[in-house]
Amino acid sequence: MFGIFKTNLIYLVLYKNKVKIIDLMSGKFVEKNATPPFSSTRILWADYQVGENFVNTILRDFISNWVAHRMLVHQMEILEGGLSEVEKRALIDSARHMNAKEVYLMEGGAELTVGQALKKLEFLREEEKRTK
Amino acid sequence: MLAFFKPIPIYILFYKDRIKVYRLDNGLSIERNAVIPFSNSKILFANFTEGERFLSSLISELVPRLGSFFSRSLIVLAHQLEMINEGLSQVEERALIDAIRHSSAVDVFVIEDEEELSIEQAIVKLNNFKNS
Repeated sequence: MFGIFKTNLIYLVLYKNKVKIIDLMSGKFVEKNATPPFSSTRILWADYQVGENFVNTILRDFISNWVAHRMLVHQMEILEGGLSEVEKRALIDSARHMNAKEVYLMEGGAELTVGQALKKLEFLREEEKRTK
Repeated sequence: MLAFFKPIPIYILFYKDRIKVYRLDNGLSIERNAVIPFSNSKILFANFTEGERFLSSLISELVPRLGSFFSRSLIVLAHQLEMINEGLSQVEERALIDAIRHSSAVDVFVIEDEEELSIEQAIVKLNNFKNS
């Protein structure tokens, strides 16, 4: 019965005008190019309304939307000078609009495997608890 | 007496790590370079916290607060002059509007162009936006 209160663990990988969503509970994933585009030449998550709609439509088909998500968002491209505060805020806000109750950000490096993503999610969660 | 409650028209110009503010009702202006930079290589208004703090310090110099609680309301024309290749993205525009609203603005209109407007042009532009 308490299964309905479980949170979905989701790993969202963002490329330029492309999104990969991995369900960390089952390991299944979906990868799609965005039309219309949500990136500009300078910012990856530039048009957040388009981006949100796009990810939401995938998420709705992909996973149960009844429970909240715990999300690890990983930006892979357009990272010169690191993620700025404005970009981070846009990503966190958008993830919260996608029904995520906890959002953790990562930038750069290689794409993580399911096991690594789970470990990273747990690590970032612990770290946030410690700093609170 | 009622004129006291009318919002003061303000014209703000955003350059890289530099802000210029015009008060359109009496022509006073102030221009300053940011001590702590708020721009990065990709986005002009990248560091939201520092940018907002800097902007409100400039505005409060130009429009003094009334006592410790009250501040006059403002109507603002914001103009970004640099780093606008490909246009302002939604995320950048939202950051600008939010930052200005936090400095007691009731209405904010954003324009992007490489040429600075004169005070008369800014007043006309602001009135056009208000009436539309």
